[in-house]
Amino acid sequence: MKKEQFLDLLKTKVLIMDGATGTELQKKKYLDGVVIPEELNIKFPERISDIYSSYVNAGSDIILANTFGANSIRLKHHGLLDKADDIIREGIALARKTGSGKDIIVAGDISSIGEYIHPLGVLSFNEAYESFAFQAKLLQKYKADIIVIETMTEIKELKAAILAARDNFDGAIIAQMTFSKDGVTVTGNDLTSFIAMAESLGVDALGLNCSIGSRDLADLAKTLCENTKLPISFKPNAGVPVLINRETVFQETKEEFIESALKAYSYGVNMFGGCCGTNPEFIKALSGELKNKVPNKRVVKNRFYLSTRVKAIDINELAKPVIIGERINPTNRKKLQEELLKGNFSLVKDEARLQTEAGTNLLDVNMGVPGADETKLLSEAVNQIQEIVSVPLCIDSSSPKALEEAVKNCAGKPLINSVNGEEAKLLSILPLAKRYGAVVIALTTDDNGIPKTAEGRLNIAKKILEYADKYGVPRKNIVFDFLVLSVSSSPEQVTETLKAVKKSKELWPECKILLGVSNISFGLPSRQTINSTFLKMAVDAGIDFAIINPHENWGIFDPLAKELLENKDKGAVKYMEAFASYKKQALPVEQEKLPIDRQLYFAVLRGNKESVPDIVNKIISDNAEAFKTVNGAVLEALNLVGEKFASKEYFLPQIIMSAEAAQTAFAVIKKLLKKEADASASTGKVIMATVKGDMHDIGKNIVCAVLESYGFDVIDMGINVDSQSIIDKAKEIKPLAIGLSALMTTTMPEMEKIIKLMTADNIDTPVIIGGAAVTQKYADEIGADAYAKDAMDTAKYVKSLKP
Amino acid sequence: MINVSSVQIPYDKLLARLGYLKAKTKIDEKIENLIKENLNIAQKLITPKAAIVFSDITVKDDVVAFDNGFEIKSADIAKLLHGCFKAYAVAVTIGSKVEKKRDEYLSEKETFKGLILDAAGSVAAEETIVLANQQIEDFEKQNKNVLTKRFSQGYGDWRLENQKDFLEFIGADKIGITLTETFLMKPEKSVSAIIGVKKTE
Repeated sequence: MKKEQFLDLLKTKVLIMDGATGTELQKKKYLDGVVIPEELNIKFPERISDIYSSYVNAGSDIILANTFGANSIRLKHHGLLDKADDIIREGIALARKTGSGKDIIVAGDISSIGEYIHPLGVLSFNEAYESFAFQAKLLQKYKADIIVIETMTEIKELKAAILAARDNFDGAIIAQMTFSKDGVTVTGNDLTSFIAMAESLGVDALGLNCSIGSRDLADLAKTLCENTKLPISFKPNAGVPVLINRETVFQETKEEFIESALKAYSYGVNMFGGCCGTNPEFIKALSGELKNKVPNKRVVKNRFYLSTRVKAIDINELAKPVIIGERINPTNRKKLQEELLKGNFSLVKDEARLQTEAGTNLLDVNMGVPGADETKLLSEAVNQIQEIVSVPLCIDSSSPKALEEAVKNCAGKPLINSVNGEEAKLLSILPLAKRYGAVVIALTTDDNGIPKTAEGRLNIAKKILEYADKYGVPRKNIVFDFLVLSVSSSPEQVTETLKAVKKSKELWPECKILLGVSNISFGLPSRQTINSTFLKMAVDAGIDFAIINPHENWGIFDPLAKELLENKDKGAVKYMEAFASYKKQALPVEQEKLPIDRQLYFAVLRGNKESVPDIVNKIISDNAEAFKTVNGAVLEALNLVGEKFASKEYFLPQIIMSAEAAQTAFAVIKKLLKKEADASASTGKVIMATVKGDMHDIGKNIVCAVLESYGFDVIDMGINVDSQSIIDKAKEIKPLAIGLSALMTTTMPEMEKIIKLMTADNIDTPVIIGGAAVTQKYADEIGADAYAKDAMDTAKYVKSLKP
Repeated sequence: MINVSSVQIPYDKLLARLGYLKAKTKIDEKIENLIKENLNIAQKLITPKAAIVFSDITVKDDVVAFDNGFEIKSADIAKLLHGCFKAYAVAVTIGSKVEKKRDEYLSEKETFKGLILDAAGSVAAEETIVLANQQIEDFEKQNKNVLTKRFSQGYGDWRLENQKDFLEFIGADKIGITLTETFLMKPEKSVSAIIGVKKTE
């Protein structure tokens, strides 16, 4: 079925989708004998045909083929990858056969992989994409009419699925997400972020399915109807499932379900079906009420969304100018460059947080650090920033490769910074904007540089629009930058820029306009006076976005600066007279640098792991007795940390932060000492293990971290460790002590077993035990040498053993 | 009656779980931000689910007998359910994504992040059972009934070894809870409990 054919159909009538597959299969005990429901297609085709035909008979126009989880990752996980072709072919063919004689639309069904994409999960974006692409190719091969992507809860996964479907499938694509009552998915995506991203990626319809009952879902459908012009599908559960007395119960009645569906119809929903807990009776009732009705018209405002994982902002609704914070940019910032070269993003995150607090609407992210892998840095910066703030991003790079990876990894709809009138740029950047549905900033410059006149820049703008049309980038996704030059060197240029802004608004009202402001004041005193005055003039001329430092004062409007900017103050005579003596308020004098060993002491005390390697390396290069210095400072800090912990001024997370800082210090210095073959620095080995049968890792790992922070070599044998292997290890390495962890009363007896085995084997290594259920009394009973109530206690004991 | 999907992990409860004492512990903005970042990750990774079984019961000596045949032998539970005519067996879980992420961090030696995720998962599981308990209480209130305290395996004489039968009774496998040979629930961040129901005097 051609995409246009399907979309035309939706314009004329309401379509009925099917009801639940999974819960029907369970109810009829059809899942006996298969690993996953999709296997039915090839193993028990009559069962799945029975479900299909029950919905066809009930009046469904659209049947979702049984291909829900037939992506390559999930099929591989269940050992069915080699059956993928058969499963998808039969899934579609059976639906086709069941519906023969009727105009049934067979949808290829795509749903979640079950593993999230980084940073929430372990999958890379590309792995998820490939898994969906594998499925979409087969859906294309076996001629599904449309694709329904459904039950998605994570926006990045949805992004991968939509891209994969679009790249490999010709027909229409419907994207459905699963929200809870408050309109947010389990991973925190809201309805507008869904609309913004799915629309921008070019899906043909949007929808809601699963999770909540029909009444709550109808409320969400209303929001959807008010915010998108695309057709909408609506597939609620028959209420929230509850597991009562071993039965999954859906509490909603058919009547309640229909009432909500009629409400959703009144809002303008186009397709109706059911999800978990619904059955052919529900669909029959739906069909009786709504089939073939003319869809209700919707009134939808013109939105201009930019979005993140958690929300979308409508640029049309925001006060102008919309602020893009410029501070995440390492150009001329040595400290930031150094940190990024080490892969440390804490300064980037600080900038993101501070600018957001200062009220910036969007964040520009530039990772142009000389000598660094910009592609990697930019993607990771996007990931990290999106974890902590919810403002949309403006992804800034001159490298198309870095841009593509970052835009792909960005959860939501970003701005791309930037394209310009150069042929090579247009050819490399516009396809990215098209593919990822991003808005793109277009600088009105080309191979000949920046035109001196407004007309020249508008000509380039025109050329860019022609290319955008050619590449299928909607004109509204082009944001022009008419470029700001410094008023001191090109005083006549300011008016040209503003003229271009005004003219562009007349010529192409659908295109938004941006200016980067701070360049205007280059070389003049009291720069912010000029910057802020200029910004006001630019807003009056009609700009929509400004790239600025949000921490500066943007309330200034100075008549002298205005005269200067209007080129009425020739040679800036008057301006200079007033402002020449202006000095930017000096920053408070930096505190006298502490001696290097004190710096290490404070870094460990405050848990600043990031600063430790530099400090230790400095100690190594300056100091003949580096190990002694490092060891002294670290232990002194840890002692105070221990005291603070004892007095409850510090709590566990701070202990771990300090321990990680100390671990880092020892890791750096030991690497050096190993090179010098100096073994004397070793402070002794300790074996740590969680006993057999017990899977608890965290407590033992905390102890390991603290012991390592004191310089001990910890041999962490892991969890569920066989008793004999602990003893074998002890014989081999002769440690200072063995630490055993067990959290449960059922696994504690393993500790006793180990001690007995050791006694039998004449091993006298001290054993220290701990864990939630372990007590001093128990330690005494089984003959352990010590009991520790926490990690600090363990460290204290092991230190007392030091030779 | 039971819907736990909206559970939120409160920041203050996470701090308390980590040993924070309002009057004594001092934390700076940096650590606060780091804790909140990881709390946000945990929040996105939880998928709270609940399963309940209820029936009328009779309590005799050390044995609590559900009308549908299931029995618990424990003096402590019999004492707790004394005077009850009905009981709920409940299991909740937040799913396994939090602990997967925690283990990923631990394997990367990111102990701090692992610690916060682990604690956030525990708080989430606790919040889930508290919410389920609350919803049962609200429901029983309509019939003028009151609930006993909640009682879990490992308390008193109710040994972990009984967990297997108890979870089977609830049908906890349907929300993804399984048991290891040493009676550890998988996902780890799961809770099971029994709650008695009495008529208001």
